[in-house]
Amino acid sequence: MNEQRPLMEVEIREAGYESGKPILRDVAFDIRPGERVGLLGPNGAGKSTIMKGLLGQLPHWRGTVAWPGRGEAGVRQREMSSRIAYIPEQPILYERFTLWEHLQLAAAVSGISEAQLRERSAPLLRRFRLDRARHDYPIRFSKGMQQKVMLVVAFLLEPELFLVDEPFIGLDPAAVMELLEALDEERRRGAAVLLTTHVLDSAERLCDRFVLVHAGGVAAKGTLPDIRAAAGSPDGTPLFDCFRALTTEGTGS
Amino acid sequence: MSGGRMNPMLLTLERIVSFWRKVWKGWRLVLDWTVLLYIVLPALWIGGGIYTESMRQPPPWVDMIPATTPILVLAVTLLRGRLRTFAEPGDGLFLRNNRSWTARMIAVGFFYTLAARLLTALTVTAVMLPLATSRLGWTDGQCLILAVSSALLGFVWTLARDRVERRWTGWRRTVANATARIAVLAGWGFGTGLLFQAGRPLLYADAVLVPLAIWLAWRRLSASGAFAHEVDVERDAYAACVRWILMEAGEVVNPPSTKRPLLFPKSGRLFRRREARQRVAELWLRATLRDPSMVRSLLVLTGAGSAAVWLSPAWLAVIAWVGMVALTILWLHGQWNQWVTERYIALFDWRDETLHKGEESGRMGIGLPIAAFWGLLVGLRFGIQHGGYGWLAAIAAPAAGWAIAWFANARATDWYGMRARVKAQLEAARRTKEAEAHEAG
Repeated sequence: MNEQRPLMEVEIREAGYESGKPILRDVAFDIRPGERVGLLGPNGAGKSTIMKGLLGQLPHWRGTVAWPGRGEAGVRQREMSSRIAYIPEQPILYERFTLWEHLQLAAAVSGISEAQLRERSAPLLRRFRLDRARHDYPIRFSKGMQQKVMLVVAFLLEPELFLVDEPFIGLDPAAVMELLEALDEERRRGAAVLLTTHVLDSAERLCDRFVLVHAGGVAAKGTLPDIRAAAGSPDGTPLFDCFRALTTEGTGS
Repeated sequence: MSGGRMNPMLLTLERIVSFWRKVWKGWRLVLDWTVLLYIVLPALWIGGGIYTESMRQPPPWVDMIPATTPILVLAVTLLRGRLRTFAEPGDGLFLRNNRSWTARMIAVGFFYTLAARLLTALTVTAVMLPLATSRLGWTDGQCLILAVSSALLGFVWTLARDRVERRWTGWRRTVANATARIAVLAGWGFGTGLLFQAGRPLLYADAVLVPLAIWLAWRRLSASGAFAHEVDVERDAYAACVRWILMEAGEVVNPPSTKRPLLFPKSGRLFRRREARQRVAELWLRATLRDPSMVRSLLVLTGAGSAAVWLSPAWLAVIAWVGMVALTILWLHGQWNQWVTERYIALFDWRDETLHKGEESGRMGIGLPIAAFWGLLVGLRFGIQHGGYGWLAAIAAPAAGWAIAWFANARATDWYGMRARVKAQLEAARRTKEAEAHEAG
């Protein structure tokens, strides 16, 4: 188990889209450098709301996000978003930009020089086999290729934390492998990954730790043995069964 | 839908009714009694009055209208249509596997398209009837034959256009479509002109159009892989019917029709300096100039400003010039604000400096050349009026326009920046107050 100081500590007391109607309550977890943490939960549990909160997109947010590695106890949401790269489940693209212009905007806004942009983007575009399409409109790409554009944009920024929403949807097996390899390289650099997925067997193989969200709160968290203990399941129980035990109505909280 | 009685013809008829009901529901949103009473009825009354008056006492230029004009007016009107099949995306699940149903539904689409062409042709002919009978000396029968022949031409065109659009994509489709349209118009104008000269009726043209329509329709029925195109046509047809009432919504954006941009295809540099503000401004300029609706708006703005500067009295022209520069900056600010809320653009953490200075550079890229152009018009007017050294104004005024726009742009940046800071402070204060109230509660 990784015993480093956490990269980020999240403590959400209450958060949601409307004042007085919180969707999340008492959600706390941390992420360590180079770690892959799986944010799991059934539909409507609050995973996407947590992601939006970390990106500073929630109108009502009461809680703190600390970056102990930097010695910062509380970080403003706005500063947080510059350290995080978000890879959404549905690609977000601009219809009047070419692929290269998508990268140019990400670089210009994030303080990456043009020389750095060329240097960083060349291997990424080759890795995801997009180098021949750099002057094409991504809005006309297939869904899988559009998702690769989002990956290239995220990797280009070299953030401290990747928020990856459903990484296995829309990508072909080769692209999934390339994504995992690229994420591994980023981990070696010290970046952490927080990913949400419903593909639990993949999550079990990929993640170092898990945060299991249910009904707006944390049902269990920790390594796979910790999750098994919380679910009262014996050793060797797959994550899928633990997930079912912990999220069945009445046992979750 | 009652499965037992349903057949391809009934299904297509049901879809036709449903399509027009949906369009009517859209229009009903804006056509309430106040709009009908204060806008539609007066417009019909005034328009009808002008029409009947001009028919009773035609203006002198009516005598100069060539005899082929009604024919070309009808042809231009009828070359706007497309072949309708009323295909729906859900048909791809199982319906399209049944070739017999598909063929019969498309056949109903043929009849609908032909009927729509005929209705349009008869309406336009009825409007032109007084002109055609009294001024050009045509009989009612000749007018009817003209309407039917034009409807046939329109039907043949929809089938030909359908073929062209299924065959090509992107700019090739645009070029092929435009070329075919011009060729058909020229051919129709030339052919009917020959018939008139020879004193032959237009029925001779029908002898060519009818077999051509049957052949094209037959080919269309056996065409494969047309489903996606049909769905696109149906989507466009609905959009065309409700576009006018939704034009202020500004939500639906048509993706570019080409794989690569036609303008700035290699994302080339527009500014020499490469700081974040210039790089961002460059991206905004490219995106703006690639958007046809924005280019149209810019041309309208430039045209309106040019007219104001050129046609007003000299003292008013100078005021109009400065006023139009300010208006342009204001309009560009609105466009920039809209751009930064685009989902991809809003994904990133924009620093205030990049946001405001980028906008300033972007506005400069569009606003300064326009201001200089208006300045040139002011200078030319001065030169024409005063001659001699007055022509120096044609050099000085564009430079002055450039300077005025640059100054106004910089002041606008200061103002917008200050407004944003105040807004952010008020928002922060509101959040703090809300948090304190929550803690106390």
